[in-house]
Amino acid sequence: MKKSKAISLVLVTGLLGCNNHPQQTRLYLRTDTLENYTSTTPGYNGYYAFRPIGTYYWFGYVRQGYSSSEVHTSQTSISRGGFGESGGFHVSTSS
Amino acid sequence: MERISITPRNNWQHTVEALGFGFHTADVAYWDESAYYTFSMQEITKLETVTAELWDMCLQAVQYVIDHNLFDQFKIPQFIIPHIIESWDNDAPAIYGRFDLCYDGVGEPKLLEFNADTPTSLFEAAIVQWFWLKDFDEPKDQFNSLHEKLIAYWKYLKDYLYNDTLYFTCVKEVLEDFTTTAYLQDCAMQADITTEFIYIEDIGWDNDNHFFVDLNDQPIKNIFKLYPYEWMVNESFGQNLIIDKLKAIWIEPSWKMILSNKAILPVLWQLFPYHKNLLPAYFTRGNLKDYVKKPLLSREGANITIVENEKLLANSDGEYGEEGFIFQELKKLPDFNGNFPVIGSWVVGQQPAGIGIRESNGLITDNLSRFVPHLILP
Repeated sequence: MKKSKAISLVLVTGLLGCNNHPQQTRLYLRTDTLENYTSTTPGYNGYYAFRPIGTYYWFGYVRQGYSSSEVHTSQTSISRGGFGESGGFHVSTSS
Repeated sequence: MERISITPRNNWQHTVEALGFGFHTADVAYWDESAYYTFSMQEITKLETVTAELWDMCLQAVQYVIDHNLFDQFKIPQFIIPHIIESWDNDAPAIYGRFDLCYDGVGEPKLLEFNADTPTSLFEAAIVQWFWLKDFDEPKDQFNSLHEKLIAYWKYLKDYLYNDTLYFTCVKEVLEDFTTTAYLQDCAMQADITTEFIYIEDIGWDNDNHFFVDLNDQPIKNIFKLYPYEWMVNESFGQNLIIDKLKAIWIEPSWKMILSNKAILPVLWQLFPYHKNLLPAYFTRGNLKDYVKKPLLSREGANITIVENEKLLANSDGEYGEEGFIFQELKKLPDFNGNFPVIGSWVVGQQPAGIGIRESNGLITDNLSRFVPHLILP
């Protein structure tokens, strides 16, 4: 059962942990203030804020991904917001 | 199995936050280190053995449901059934699941339900309670190989994915879900898989080419989701799952819709009647006098009714139950001075991988339950 090696978290501690890790600097947080999409109509052609989610470590930057907002979508055939519509629910600790 | 009360670590909040555990307290404490549970090695071995056996039985049950076309009993929409069958026949990658067991250290563990699609409390079980043990009593052991097994299984699954980025997604604005998802992404990164994160609301659909895309309009071929299928299939993009020209690999695979549905409990009882680790369960109440009525699909202990001697013992509110209910014989959770624990026993890949304990003040384990660490006595 016992873990034989020290556990290291490449991503989680840097992204979500306290700033008490001298080798890790948290730069980007979740963009939680964004509103949900309200339309999945094909042809949506908006501008969304666009922020990378990631962390700087002593060895370099680890990009976790992107979050929306003003991404310029030049293609008119992309719909977004068709998942995540079950507002008011979340997966939670008990599921 | 015992419950021991202790004094929490000084400034434990800061300690767990340093691990990335930011949801330790809501209205009440969720992470609770004012107590811990002890197990003997024999008890842990039993939990491990039972978990492996239940997993094997569940796989047999999936095959049975597919072979006998029982999807209607699960209220699974018709359009997604071919996707489910294809994912099963193709042995689509799955990473994890959590059995909720009723166990008091004396009798046989009994299966309450299986969280097969979107099990959470993973980060707490794998990381937070492990570092608690290191601080509290490092020489002791814990039933917890989750972290190593997650990394190892991601490595194993790498060959079964498309040679492309593996996306991780969950809903916005819920720190619990984000932490669980980020933790799984972390493990995948350590398995040398190229990953990206995208919120599920940000996933796009290319209407010309018929595939899912990220925020750069790049195709999504592999994606882990912490978002239930029963929600996905009822949303605007749900139908797109079956017309996706890239046939993206979704993890967990859609065949997990069978196991995450409470209808699997009567099916298991039918397939393995009087199995020592199952409780009698039926689609109708029948002759049961002491029973728990559970919605086919529910979360956070919602819409549960507990009846003893045909009298209401406890119930919970919620918004579930539209699809129907099952009836499971009542097995009361053990009472440790007013604390009622449920053992969450994890499967990673095909193997038992550890436990996490959530306890509540009543017989229904709901969204106010507490996560309590454990250790193994030598």
